[in-house]
Amino acid sequence: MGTIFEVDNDGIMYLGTQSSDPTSHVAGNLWYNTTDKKLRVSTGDTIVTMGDEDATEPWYLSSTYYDVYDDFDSYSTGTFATNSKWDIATVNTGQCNITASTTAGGTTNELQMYQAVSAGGSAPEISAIANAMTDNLSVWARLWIWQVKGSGYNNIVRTSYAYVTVDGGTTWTTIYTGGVYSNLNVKTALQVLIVALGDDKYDVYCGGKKLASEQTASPLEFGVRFLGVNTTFSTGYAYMYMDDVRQLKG
Amino acid sequence: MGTKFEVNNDGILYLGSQSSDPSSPTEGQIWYNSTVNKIKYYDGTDVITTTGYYGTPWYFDSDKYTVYDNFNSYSTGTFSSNTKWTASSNNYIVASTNAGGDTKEVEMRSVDTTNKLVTLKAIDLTANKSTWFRYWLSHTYVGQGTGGTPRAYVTIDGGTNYYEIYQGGMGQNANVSFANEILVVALGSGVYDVYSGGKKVISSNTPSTFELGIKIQGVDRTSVDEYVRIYIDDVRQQI
Repeated sequence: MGTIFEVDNDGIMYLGTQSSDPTSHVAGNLWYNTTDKKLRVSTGDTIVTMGDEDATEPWYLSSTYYDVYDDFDSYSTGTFATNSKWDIATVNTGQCNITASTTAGGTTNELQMYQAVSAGGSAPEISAIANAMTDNLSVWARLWIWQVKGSGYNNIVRTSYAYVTVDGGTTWTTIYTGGVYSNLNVKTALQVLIVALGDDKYDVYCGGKKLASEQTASPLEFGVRFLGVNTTFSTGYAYMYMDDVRQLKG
Repeated sequence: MGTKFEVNNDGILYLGSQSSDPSSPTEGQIWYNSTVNKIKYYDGTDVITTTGYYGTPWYFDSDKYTVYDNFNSYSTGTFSSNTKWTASSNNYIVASTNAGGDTKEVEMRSVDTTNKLVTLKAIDLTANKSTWFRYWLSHTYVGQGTGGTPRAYVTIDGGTNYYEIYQGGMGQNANVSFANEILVVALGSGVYDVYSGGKKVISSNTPSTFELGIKIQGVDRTSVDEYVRIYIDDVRQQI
């Protein structure tokens, strides 16, 4: 047996104070961190920060509770190719770039999924699938959709769809549909929340609405997909920006 | 010093059991409250009730919020101002589950012609409590030619200041549809942040009166059919 914790006369345990988390710990270690005033417990592999049930913010708004899976700031502006974190797929004229932009509320760079289809062109499609996430932890991502119809006019509508997946693309859930016309555009911010239920099951929310329940994914492979439809006579553009993909800490 | 905490033969720490919180805790003290069956600790300022970790936002957990208004108690028809709401014309209560509601939702409908404006404002929410509602937006255009550019806005000060959350423009036989959410985070002392679609659109705002509202502005069209509809349900406020 190690240290015996003693208490004051009120009979309540005093954990002591740790200004920083221990560098080594074993499952079951419990301590109080005075820097952020949070209670922590070790699972052996990771450190879990105990939440406050009266907190006013969701976990993804408080950096205490999440890790940034990718904020894209570490990438150079330009074409965004498949790498250790993301599988990128584009079909036809779909493009995936890193842009210096704060349109989605990001700090510097964002992932831009860009569709451009010429008159008579084929439907562009882009997907970005995360390939190194931790299973059974909740995920959050913010999206910003900007859909633009190019110059010229006709009676053909340019339509785009956005989807989200938790299983690497086997199952896609629709989160947005939109159509625009001559020289007009649509702008809105959306957020995707994947709630880990344990046992490799996940609920999918977008805009606060549950769109898929208890989807099974092993491993967890979060992804988004942007799909356009072809036009007959004119050019259309559509952008979807993603920034600050976050995952709940252990 | 008083009691020494020891572990049982199973090697598991036993915190003891307190039927009520201590009256004068010290930062770093931890205890198990047997009345609410929760582990609590003191952070030097507040007694914190732990909740494991943040698996889901509070507004998905019915133990953590009260439903300010789910609209099921209203009759279908035009939704007019009452003790809870200030409403402009072109509001309806409809039986729908577009926003994921149980039965009825408020539909704010802006239909072509003369930039029709529709507002809905909650007037008796509790100050300094985080608040959330979900909406579902449908923008439909049936007709020839170029459509308009309707917009949607949110306010927390009763309409003195509005912040744009949607802008749309499209053409013949097209539509835009998606679900979205407004989250007002109460920071205390009358200060609020507002998020739309996860993006902070209002930062550290200090309204003289906390009045959450939404506004949609229609289009100036007279010869086509263009509709913007926002469905709102289950306005929730943190307990």
